[in-house]
Amino acid sequence: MYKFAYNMFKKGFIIFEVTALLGFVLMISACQRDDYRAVPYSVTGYKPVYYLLDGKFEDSVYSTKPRSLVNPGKIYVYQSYLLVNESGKGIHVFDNSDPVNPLPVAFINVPYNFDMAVKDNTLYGDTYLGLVVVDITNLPDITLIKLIKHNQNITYPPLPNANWGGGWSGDGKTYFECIDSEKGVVIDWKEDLIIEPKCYQ
Amino acid sequence: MNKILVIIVLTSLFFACGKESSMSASSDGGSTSGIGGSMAKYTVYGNYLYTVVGQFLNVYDATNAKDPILKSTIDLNNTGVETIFPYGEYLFFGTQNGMLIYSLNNPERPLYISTYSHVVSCDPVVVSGDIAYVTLSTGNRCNRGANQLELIDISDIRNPRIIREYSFHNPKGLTVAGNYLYLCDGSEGLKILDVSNEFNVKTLKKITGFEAYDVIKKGDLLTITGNDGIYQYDCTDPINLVLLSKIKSVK
Repeated sequence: MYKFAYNMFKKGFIIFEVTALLGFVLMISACQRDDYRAVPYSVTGYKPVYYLLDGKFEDSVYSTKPRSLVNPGKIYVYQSYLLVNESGKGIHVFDNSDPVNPLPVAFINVPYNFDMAVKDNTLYGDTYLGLVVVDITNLPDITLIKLIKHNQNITYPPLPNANWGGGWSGDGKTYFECIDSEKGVVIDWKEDLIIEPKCYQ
Repeated sequence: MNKILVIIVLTSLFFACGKESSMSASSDGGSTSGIGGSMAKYTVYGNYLYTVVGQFLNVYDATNAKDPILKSTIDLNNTGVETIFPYGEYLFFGTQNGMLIYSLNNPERPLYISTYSHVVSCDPVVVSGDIAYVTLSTGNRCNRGANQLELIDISDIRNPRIIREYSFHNPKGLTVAGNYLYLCDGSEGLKILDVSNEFNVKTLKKITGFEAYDVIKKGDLLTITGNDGIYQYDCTDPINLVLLSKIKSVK
């Protein structure tokens, strides 16, 4: 029993040695690469916010009290309503009967939403899984009619500040925690400290 | 001589078709849809919903609005499709390297007609009469591009040709109404252009103080997205706009 354990230990040690050696060699070669030289040890960047594919999507489309515009995106005018997309979050609804005084009516939460259109009191919006169909007849209450999934590849939302001269790092790059598709779909980015960043844009 | 002829033909065509252009709220058989901005990737046209997803166009029959049915998925063969604009019997797509035109002869299955190519840029397109107005802007994903407004003659839909290009600061969303074009020119705000002569487009006025991104015109109301909120103007006088309200964003 002891001998077995010792052998295992010895074996493990050898594996450790080999791994360490390999790691060392890799480290050296990595260090010699130009693009690694400038990478900081820790930097403010972005961590992906995941949404589980098997999560209950139905629960994530709902209306709430009006909220403030933060990152207004696209706009849409339907009858006396003005719809304003909140980038990646959902849709603000205003009663625009009097454009001098547009009245906030509701916020429709739709994860990863950027686009919209309306026909016959039915709101169509995009989400990472496909097309969301929402009944807006009884605003501020809404009913999710259905989600029509599409087969197109899911793209993740663009990194904030990317290509704006590097955002945070000062070396012309925006760093982020690499995406792990096992964890789900990336629906947003959260500003955070990234230790030993491996991915950047 | 030929050039003069072309001008005469173009001008007559322009006047013949110079109707109000911005996507108007359609109302047929009791069915209503709304108006999107020029940056939209979603649009309702007739009984159909057209959505751009990546390089694909999805077509849904939305005759029964609450039960849209996917009719076709078309590969636009272009990775940088940014905007969709329906006009007449056609769909116009703004892409990062040009404008695509598809026929709506069969609204369930739009058919490729032609491409007008330009340098890599981000660009929406709107159409009025026989002229497509395309803005090209740099920044974000398109930092190799140019900053200009292009007027493209589409009287021969199979062979779109440049009429003239005009330099601007960082032009994005736009809408055309008769002789006037409202242009969101980034940090230089909203510009009101006289487009009655396509060879001599003039900036009549600027409204500065905010970064303009996109614009919708509905009747006498202009709704504009800016970096710090939504601005609404009365455009009864198309040149001297009157600010009605601003919905501030908290950022």
